[in-house]
Formats: sequence, structure tokens, C-alpha cells
Amino acid sequence: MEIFAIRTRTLSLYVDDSAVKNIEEKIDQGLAVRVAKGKRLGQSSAACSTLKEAEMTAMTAVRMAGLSPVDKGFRQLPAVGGKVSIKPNVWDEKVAQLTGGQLADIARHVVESSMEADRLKVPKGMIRTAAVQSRIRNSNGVEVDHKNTMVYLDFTTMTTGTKPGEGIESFYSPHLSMIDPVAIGRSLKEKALASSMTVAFKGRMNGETVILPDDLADMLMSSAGAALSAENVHRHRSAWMGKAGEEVASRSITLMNDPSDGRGMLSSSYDDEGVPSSKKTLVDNGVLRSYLYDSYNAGLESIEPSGNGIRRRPEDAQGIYLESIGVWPMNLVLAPGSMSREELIASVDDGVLIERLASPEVNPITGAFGLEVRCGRVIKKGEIVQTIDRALLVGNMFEALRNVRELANDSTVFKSCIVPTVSFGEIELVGSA
Amino acid sequence: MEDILRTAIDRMESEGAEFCDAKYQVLKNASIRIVDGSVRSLTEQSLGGVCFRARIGGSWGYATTVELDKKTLLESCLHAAKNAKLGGAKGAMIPDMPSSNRQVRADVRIHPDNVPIEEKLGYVADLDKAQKVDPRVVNSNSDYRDEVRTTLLVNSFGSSLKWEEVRIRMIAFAVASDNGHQELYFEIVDGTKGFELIKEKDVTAMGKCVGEEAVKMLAAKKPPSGYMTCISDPKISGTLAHEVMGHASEADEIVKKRSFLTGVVGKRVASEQITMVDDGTIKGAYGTIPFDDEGTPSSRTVIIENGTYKGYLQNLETAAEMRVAPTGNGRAQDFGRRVWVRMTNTFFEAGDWTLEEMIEGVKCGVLADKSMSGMEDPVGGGFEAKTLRGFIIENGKVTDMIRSFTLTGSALEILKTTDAVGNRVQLDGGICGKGIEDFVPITSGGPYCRSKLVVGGG
Repeated sequence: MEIFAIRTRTLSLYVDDSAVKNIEEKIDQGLAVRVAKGKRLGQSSAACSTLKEAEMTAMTAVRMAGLSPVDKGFRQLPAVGGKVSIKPNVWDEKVAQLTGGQLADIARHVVESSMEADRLKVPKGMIRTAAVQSRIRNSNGVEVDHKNTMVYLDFTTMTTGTKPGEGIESFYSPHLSMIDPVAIGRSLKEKALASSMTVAFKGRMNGETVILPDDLADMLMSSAGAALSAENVHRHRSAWMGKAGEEVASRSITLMNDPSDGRGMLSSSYDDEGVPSSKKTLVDNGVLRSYLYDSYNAGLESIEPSGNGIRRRPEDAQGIYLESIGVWPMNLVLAPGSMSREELIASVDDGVLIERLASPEVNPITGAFGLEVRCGRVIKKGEIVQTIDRALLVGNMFEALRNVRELANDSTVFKSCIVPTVSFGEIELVGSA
Repeated sequence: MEDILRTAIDRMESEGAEFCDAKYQVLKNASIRIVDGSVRSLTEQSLGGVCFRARIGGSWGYATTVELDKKTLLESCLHAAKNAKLGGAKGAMIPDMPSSNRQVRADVRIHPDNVPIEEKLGYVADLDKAQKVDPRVVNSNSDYRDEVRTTLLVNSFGSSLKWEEVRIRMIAFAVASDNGHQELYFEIVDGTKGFELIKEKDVTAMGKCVGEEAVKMLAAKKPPSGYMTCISDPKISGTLAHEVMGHASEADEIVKKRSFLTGVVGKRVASEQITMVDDGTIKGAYGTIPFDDEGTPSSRTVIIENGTYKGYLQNLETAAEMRVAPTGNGRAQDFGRRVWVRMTNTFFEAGDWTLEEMIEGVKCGVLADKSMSGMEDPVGGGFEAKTLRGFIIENGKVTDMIRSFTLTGSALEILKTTDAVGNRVQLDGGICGKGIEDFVPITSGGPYCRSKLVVGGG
């Protein structure tokens, strides 16, 4: 039997129309129980505040295991093994003790530094902080306690003219000291003003494409992150299945699983099955070296799990006990290059800088994408010459990773990724006629 | 519990709340996941807790807890009132409403609580097995989930409401592979119905169809890119209705002037063929609710009528700001999340074209088939919908199948180019976020629609 227990205190604040609209304080506590009866596995999870509720949750999991058919692939729940090699600093007592009033002060600094009367306003914003304590126990002797804090911010600023433009800024960190509300506000202002000057892109171009860390993180996680999962490999839905030792990306691409980085939202000494986590190179100078394993998928290959069985999410700690174990990088880190972002842009002869995509999702199986560009900058001979929207960026992420021109040195945390700005060789951009 | 919540209302009012409510909610679900014939997850879950909301001036304070003893609850409600005082936003007072005292049970024939999990497992196993129609189907996935949600809401109007919602969803998803090339296909069945939804479905036929279509997808060609005529299937028409016109019609975006539809009531926004509604009362639809999360009964709201914009979706607060009646669109993911203005079942109404007539009139274009996802843009009025696949239309005939692609453009421009609207509406259940979180069950839909927009896929 395995028990994952978690207690969280979440403090959230919402800004609507440049004023503090909501302050929310939430206490959440629950259990996820997995029971193995031979090769039969049952699960149950529940919000629990009493011993009786906990017992009922455990008994439900026992009942589910009794009803479940045999799963020939299942070997066992994790056993004690492996030494803890990392101890990331992901607890900030200031976050744990934060009050609604202190959160409101941070929000007001963001708002004041991003708005201008009659020109710019903050239609929506949110700061969420959480203090999380979790405990994993299993009947194979695993005993793991973990605690971490989270600070997540997501704000929008917009211009108020006849053609409004919107700027979006996000922030992720376990630590309150890392947040700079004034810098965030200034960036919001710049992005909103740029977005208000867009013109609809016409025709098509096939130039160099520079993608900033926020959008790139989602594109990378939904393609490479999915392809690296042993679950997807075993289910024949990984584009990198059977390619260990082969070149899958440009030589400038090195991808790591790094749960030791104190900036990462999921950094931890253990995964959510209680398996020690460790820093691991997944793609080394373009060559695929390793996949990621939870205990189930490691069992299919009779190897040790890599500590990548994950329930937690990078932006929200509520209801984690309701999540199933998935196989993901703890922090997917793309090694940076040496140029600054400005130098990288200046080095582009003919291309586009993608500042904001509507929804940067990539088909996780095929890598195909068609992504609406909500703000882009056309670059000619290193200079930005036009700001565009209403365009579609069309390509395939696995092919794009084989066609990387340059990486900047501006690594940024976004969700559970730490990535820099990257310039790709030709990707098609399509506009209206 | 109701007595404690009522006491909490009194305490929040004593602390200065001009409006307040208290909600006790329990969500119970059973879920089954079978992958390649193996049961990967057989789970029962329970999530219960209380949320207190207090409104002072124009700001809200929320306090949520899963600890349900009286002492904790009565302390928690004071946190809600305290947090409301920290805000400082201005806003119109929510006017008093007549109190209501009602209890509503879910209208289902076979309550999922009365179906043994072994029986549910049998249907999902059949669904999974049926997908393996060809050696090229390398991965089958079958998911089932039922949810019973019970809500008790009391508020400072003096209302006391208790209601139950039952939802069921089953998904089949197959991956086909040939020479290193992979494609996928999926089908979903869902509704606010009981287990009769599954019993009446031929799950073997559903699984077989998913497997066969995944194999057919292997022959699909690269989609074209550019500005062209596109016939959207009902699900993609629904994505347009939902993502752009629907989200931009949520009045919380209107009161802060973040929507491109601010101030357009009475104006022409689409071709005369377009009528669009949000209707939370449709029997059995996945987005149907008896009451919203503020206790307002759900309703039918006409958003666009024959091309003219009619009205917005409202919760209690936005209705107060705009001095109109609430429409029953104040919804939250669960007791632990904020109440926003949200859609229920949103769709374009039928026109009078057949699909064949629409195709005949296209010299060069695409037929988009099956929506995968979409993203709203209330500020810019943009539209993005990702499709699973499509077909080329040449000289009035459907020819080659094409792989997944994306449709984009300005919603108002697209709707003004809509020159043909199909004669049959289909609804498609789904989960909708406000931005990237706060997910609620909805449906969106419409008929086939023919418009001009930008398409492209990798």
C-alpha cells in the first residue's frame, strides 16, 4: 500500500480593472492511496480532515484493487533504494506566513508600475502563493516528507485606445524574494504598447523564427517532454521511441531533467512516488540519451525508476491528491547559449520574433503545430521593422529542434521548464491574402 | 450543515458583508482508464468542502476549507469577511433578490451510484478491445468517468438551495503507426445523464470506428496553408461560437471593457444567417446546470439574433453593474475556486443549407473535421481552433484527407464572410477554462458553416 498525503495553504489574490477584487484563503488536505494485490492495482483519493475519512479512502482503494483485473505489466510499488543526491531549497518561510494585506501590496506595485491613466490599465491579474507539505509512506518501507512553497503570478495590461493591445507576464518561483513587481509592471507596459501597434500579417514568409521562453516552454514540454516519457514510449506514441543513442535535435540542444534547481516549481529530492530524484541529461548535444521513468514504466523494462512519477503541478497546489501519477520531467531544462537576447535578435537577417502565441500547444504525438501569433515582430537585418498579429506559425516541433540556429543566455522559469530564447531556421508564417 | 452555514451568513453580515453566501459541495467520482487492454487506473474519489464568499464595496473575500467541524467553519467565514475588506475595489451593490428554497435531484434514469464498478469496467474494456481493428493500431486508450456533484448553497438573500448534478464522459483514443509515422483519432460521448448514456451507446462500434479512422489518418496529406474557404464541421463551428463570441460575451469582460464586444448590443456583428445562444437548460447536455454557483437558475440567453448582437452572459455582480437580470452564468470549477461568468451550452442555431449544397459551391477550399482545442481572445477578437483533420474540396467535390491543422482570423470578419449555415445543429461536450484554469463542463456546437479564414498545419 502507498499513501500520498498533502496539506496546503493557498493564498490567492485577483486584480480586476486595476483594483484588488478578490482575496482568497484556502486550506486543503487530502490523501491518494494506491493498493497492490499481486498484480491488481486499486486507487482512491479524497479530501480528508479526519481519521475516519482517511480509513474510508484506504478501504476504497483496497476494494478497487480487489475488483481490478490483473495487469501483467505491473511489477511493484517503489521500494526503498538509491541515495538522495540533491536537496533543493524550495521552502520560503515568508511565503508560508504571507498575509492578504502583504499580497495586496505586491499586486498594487505591479499595477502602479504597469498602468498609465487614460492609456494603460490592468484588466486582470492574479497572484497565488502556496505552502505545501506532503508525506509519502508505502509498505515497502518508503518514508518521504517534503515541503515547498510556490509563488505564481499572471498579469495582463492593456491599452485603452480604439485598437487595444494586451501584454501578459507570468512569474514562477518557490521564493518571494525573486519577485520584482516593478520590473514585471514595466514589462507589461512595454508588451501592451507593442501589441497595440500590430498590423494583420499578409501573405507568407519562411524565415528564421525566434521564440521567447514563455511560449517555447509550452511547445517544448508538449513535444520533447511527451517524447521523453517512458509511458509514451511503451505505448508507441513517442516520436523518439527507439531512438536512444541517435541524433534527434541540433547539436546545440542539451536537455536535462533537473530537480535540483532552486528556481524550479517542482524541484524536490523525491518524486511523488517517493523515489529519489536526480539531475539527468536527456538529450546531450542533440543525441537522445535517456527517457524518464516512474515505477510502473521502469517495471516494464526491469530497471530502476528515474524519479519522474509526478502528481504535482507548477502553478497550483489545490487538489493534488486527485491527480494520477504521470511521467514528466521535474524541471525540463534547455541549456542556454552565450548570446544575450538582444544580440540574438540583432543577428537575424530575415525573420520574425514571436512575442505571444494564442496557445502554444504542439501535437504531442506528431509534433505538428499551427499556432496563432497574437504579437510578432518582423526582423530585417537585425532590426525590428514591423509588429504583426493575425498570422499562423506552421511547422513541426521535432523538425524545428533539428534546425536550431542559436540559443540565448536568458534562461527563464516557466511552469516546470527553464528555457532560453531560441532561434530556429525557417518556419512558415501564414497571413491573410 | 445548513444551520452552520446560516450562522456563518449572519456572522459575515455582522462583519460588514453587503452580500455573502456559503456553499457546501461534495463531488464523488469513479474513473477507469484502460490502456492497451491493461487497467491502468481504477479509482474512486471524493472531494468535499465549504466556500464562504463575502462582498464589501466591490471586493470579495473567499475562504475555503475541507475541515468541516463547526469551529473551523465559523472561523473560516470571518476570514472571508476580513479578506473582502482588504480589496478596495468599487462596485454597484448587488440588489436583494427574492429568497428561494428548493431541492433538485438530477434527472437521470440509471444513477451511476447504482451501477457496480465491475459493470462500468466491462463497458470500458469492450471499448478498448474494439479499437484494435488493425495491426497498425499500436495504442488504444479508453477512459470513463462519472461524477455526482451535490451542492448546498445559502446566501444573504435568505435562499437555501440544494441540488445534484450527474455527469458521465467516456473517451476512446487510438494511435496508428506505419513506418515511423503516427496519427491519432478519438471519439467522446458525454452528458448530464445517468449510466443509460453508456448502456444506449454501442461501445464496440465506437471503439471500432476510432481504430479504423486512426488507420485512415495515416494516409492523410499535409494540409494547405493560406486564406481560403473553409467549411467548419459542427464541432469547429461550436469552437468559434464558444471561444471568441462566447468568452467575449461574458459580462465580467464587458464591465472592465476587456472585450471587443463591449457596447455592441443592437449592432450588426455577423451575417444575417447567424443566430447564437447560450442555454444552460438543455436536457442531457454536458454543460447543463439547474442553478449556477450563485444559486441563479440557468436560462437561455440569445447572444446574436440574425446577425444582430443582443446581450451578454451575467452573474450576480455583473448584472448589478449593468443593471440587468442575472442569467445564471456564475460558475466555478468547484467549491475551492473563484466564481466567474462562464458559458453553459453555447451554439449557433441552424440555417437551411445541406452539407452537400455547401460543398458544391466551393471551387477550392477545405472541410475541417473535429475540433481538438481552441483559445479565446476577448480583447483582439481573434480566433484559433485546432482541428484533428480535414478534407480538400476541389471543384465542388471532397477529395483528399489532410492532417491536423489550425484555423485563425478575426471572429467578426469570419462571421461576416459566412455565406452558408447548415440545417442541423450538433452539440459537443467539453471542458472550458477561463484562460488556462478554472475548468467547467460545457458544450459548444452549431451546424456546418462556410466562411473564409486562414488555415495551416505542420
